[in-house]
Amino acid sequence: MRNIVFILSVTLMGVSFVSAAPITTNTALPVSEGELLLRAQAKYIRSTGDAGAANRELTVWAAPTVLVFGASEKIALFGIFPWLDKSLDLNTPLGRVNRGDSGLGDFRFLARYTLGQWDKAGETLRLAPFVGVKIPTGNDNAQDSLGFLPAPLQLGSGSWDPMIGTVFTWQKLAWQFDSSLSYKFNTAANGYQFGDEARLDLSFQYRLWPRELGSGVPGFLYGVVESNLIWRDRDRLSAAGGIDSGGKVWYLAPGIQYVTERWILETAMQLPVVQKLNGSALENDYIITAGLRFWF
Amino acid sequence: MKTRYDYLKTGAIICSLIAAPNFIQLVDAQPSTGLKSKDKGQEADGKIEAGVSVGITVKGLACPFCVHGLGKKLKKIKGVQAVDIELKTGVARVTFDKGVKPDEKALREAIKKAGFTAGEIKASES
Repeated sequence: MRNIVFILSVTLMGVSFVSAAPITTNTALPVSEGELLLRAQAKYIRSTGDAGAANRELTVWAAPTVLVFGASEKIALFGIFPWLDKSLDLNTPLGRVNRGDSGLGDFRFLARYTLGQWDKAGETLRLAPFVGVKIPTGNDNAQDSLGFLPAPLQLGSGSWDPMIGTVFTWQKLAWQFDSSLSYKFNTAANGYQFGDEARLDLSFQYRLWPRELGSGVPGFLYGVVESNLIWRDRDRLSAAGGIDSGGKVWYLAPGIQYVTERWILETAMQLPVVQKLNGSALENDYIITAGLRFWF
Repeated sequence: MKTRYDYLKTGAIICSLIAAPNFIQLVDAQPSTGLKSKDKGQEADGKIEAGVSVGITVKGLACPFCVHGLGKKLKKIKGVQAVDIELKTGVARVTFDKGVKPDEKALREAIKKAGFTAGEIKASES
């Protein structure tokens, strides 16, 4: 059961938190001082194909809401508030059972600082490191008729987990490139410690329409290709030490995005290209993301 | 004997002399001028008439979604009547109420707070 943890973690960590542009990762683009931005996403994650007797099937719905506030022209603050529905079907000696929970997950708060900014007409390059923390707001002691849910199926980890990272963005009128490198230090709670997690995310967006820019501020239709390389360390049980978990996953995510002055609509599908998971971890089939961003 | 090229050249010079007063330059963003922005701005400041429109080059503006915050910041400047942004050229045209003199410092500050870099500011036709 614990070997579903990787996919669940990837799902939640993969919520990009910043103002515009990429779908599954982050950007260093500005948030105007004093302005508030809402980002709402819906993610559907499906993991099947378990060759074992348990024949596990995992379905996760995640709906993270992200609020972004421009504290200054250099500093942006982010609050990420996820709603989750986790559902695992598996064979047991008692027959096929369903385990899971739904509700608010762990909140995350981040601060991003624009360290470097090189602007030209119709072009910008930005470098923005960020720090953050995940706080234990989600229920971490849910139980069903079979007892307490395993840690990966809980809505929250119960732990306070800091994270650091940096985002680089190069944007021109015709295209945009973003890369994000991040590391999350997972701490222990309830005798369980999720393995640390590192991510390298890349995104390339190309303006498909309009081909020629007209007057004013036209809406842009972008074709998007993103890459998510994720490494997870082994989880630890305080009583038993490291357990057979963690691994590496590489996703490619084609997507499409329509961007206007006030709002953005977007969707992408993350397809696992490589999954090298430790133990008998359940491999992911796909992740579908749809989202909306809106300036207040 | 004057060639066709000479006539064209003369015509171009005359046209540029006629057009020049319509583009009163407050600040030259080109470093090649060797002049400090402040010096030039002060020098030209008195030439800006109240109630005019100014065109500001906004460096770093490259997508529609980034425009919203910039427009709001510019509209908050006292006396601003309208803001029109041209994404293709990266120029924000700010129209002031009659009797209001454009405040270059406020314009630059608004663009900075929106997360961009202000470039050249020119008076433009309203």
